[in-house]
Amino acid sequence: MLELIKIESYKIAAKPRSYIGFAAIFAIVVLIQIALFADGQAYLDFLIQSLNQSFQIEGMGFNGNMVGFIILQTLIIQMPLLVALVSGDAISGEIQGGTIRSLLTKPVSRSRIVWAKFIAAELYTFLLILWLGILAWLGSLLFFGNGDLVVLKSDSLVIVRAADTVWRFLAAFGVAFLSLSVVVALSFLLSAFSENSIAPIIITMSIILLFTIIGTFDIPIFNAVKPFLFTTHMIIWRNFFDRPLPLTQIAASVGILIVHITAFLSVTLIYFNRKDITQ
Amino acid sequence: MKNALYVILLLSGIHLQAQTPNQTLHKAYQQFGKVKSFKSEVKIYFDLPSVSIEDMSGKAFYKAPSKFRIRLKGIAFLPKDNPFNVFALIKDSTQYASVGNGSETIGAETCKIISVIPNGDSDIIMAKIWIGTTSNCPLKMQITSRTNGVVLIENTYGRFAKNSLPDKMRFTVDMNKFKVPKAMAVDINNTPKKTATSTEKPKGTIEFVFANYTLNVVVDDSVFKEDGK
Repeated sequence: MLELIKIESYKIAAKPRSYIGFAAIFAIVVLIQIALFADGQAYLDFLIQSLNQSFQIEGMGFNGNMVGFIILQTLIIQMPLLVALVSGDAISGEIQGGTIRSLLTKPVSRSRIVWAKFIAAELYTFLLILWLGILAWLGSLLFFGNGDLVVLKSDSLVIVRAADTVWRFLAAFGVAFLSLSVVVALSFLLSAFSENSIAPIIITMSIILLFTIIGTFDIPIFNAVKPFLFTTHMIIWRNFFDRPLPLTQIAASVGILIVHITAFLSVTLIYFNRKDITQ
Repeated sequence: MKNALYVILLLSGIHLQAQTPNQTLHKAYQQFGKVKSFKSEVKIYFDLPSVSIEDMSGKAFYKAPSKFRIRLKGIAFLPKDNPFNVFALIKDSTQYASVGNGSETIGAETCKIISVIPNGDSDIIMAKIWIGTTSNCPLKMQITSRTNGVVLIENTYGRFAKNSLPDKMRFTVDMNKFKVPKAMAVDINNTPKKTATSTEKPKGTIEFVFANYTLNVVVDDSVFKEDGK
């Protein structure tokens, strides 16, 4: 199994498109950091001006934790695309290229092949999150310094003390990884059904886009649907920066994400095991 | 003996009746006037609508006539006005006009309510002060200023009542509703809780709990400067 994972990881590493994600994250993070370095304080002052009229706000300096958080919530919309780019063609790419037949002649079960591909895609996702964490959070801490984190919501503000941010960021990255694993599992499912390598990537992104748009609108009919959309639970990482910590909500969302991963992967395994590969 | 007691009580009553608002204010100032500076520890408790912030600890510094600063690490929401400014206002009776507004009991103490209107240019438009008749301390102050609106300060006294230094100060401040466009806050998928629409501004409270006062010590002016200035 380990050998299979190594082979699948090598396949991912050999594709130029696998590096698009790392390059895109680098470019976006550096751009946001430069922009916030230039205008971050003015941006923050503008956002909290209504509170500034009532209080003398001490210590509200722009810092690495704030920059890291802003980047994280900006990038979380784009990350699924970067993940789907690689995981979306894991199976369909082999079908389209015709390499699937030689792969299936190997003395390993189809389930093991799917598992190896999934684990390799997960490793890729992990590295992508790690890259994001190093650049967006640790890099920002290095350039902007440490300090209290201001979590800005549309109708409220949460101040998280600097000493209290490390575990919250680590937990947030952990849940972000779990969220992206749903995208990996979904694109795997679509990849198993498709014989075209691009279609699963586009369909995965379309689904995420559609669900995100539904989540953005504050319309009663959409509000009724929101709890059933996995994208609603994908942004649960933000709740690690709430106080008091909504543990029940986090646990429920984590559970829902795991159920999605299990369901998508199970259907993929069942379908791929029965798939008639003739080409 | 009994008659003598009646006379004393009667005289003290007459004395209380006869005390003008200016005299009451002067008495209150005299107690605080002995304090040229102080340092103390302070614990701050916040109860602000739409702002979630933990309690904090820091140090408070005061230097006569009107320098006050709280030094702490991290982000804090503090009242804009120096809470001891009112003493600077009542220091000189030629600088204000005062009007008695009756009396009220706060806790166990009867208070004289006095409205103070500064003469000439001042940020404070009016201060309404509840001064305890026994302690001579301001138990409550409602300060209306040009820049900061109306702030209500409620004081609780302990060991340092003789210097009008409170153990506890509770500020009630009018707040503007906090609202940021969802796109700017990148707060997608958040459905704000529907609340009854009210034209009244929400009120936030900040509580200072002072401890370990050290009076009339040297306090360097640099303490009161903004960081980096």
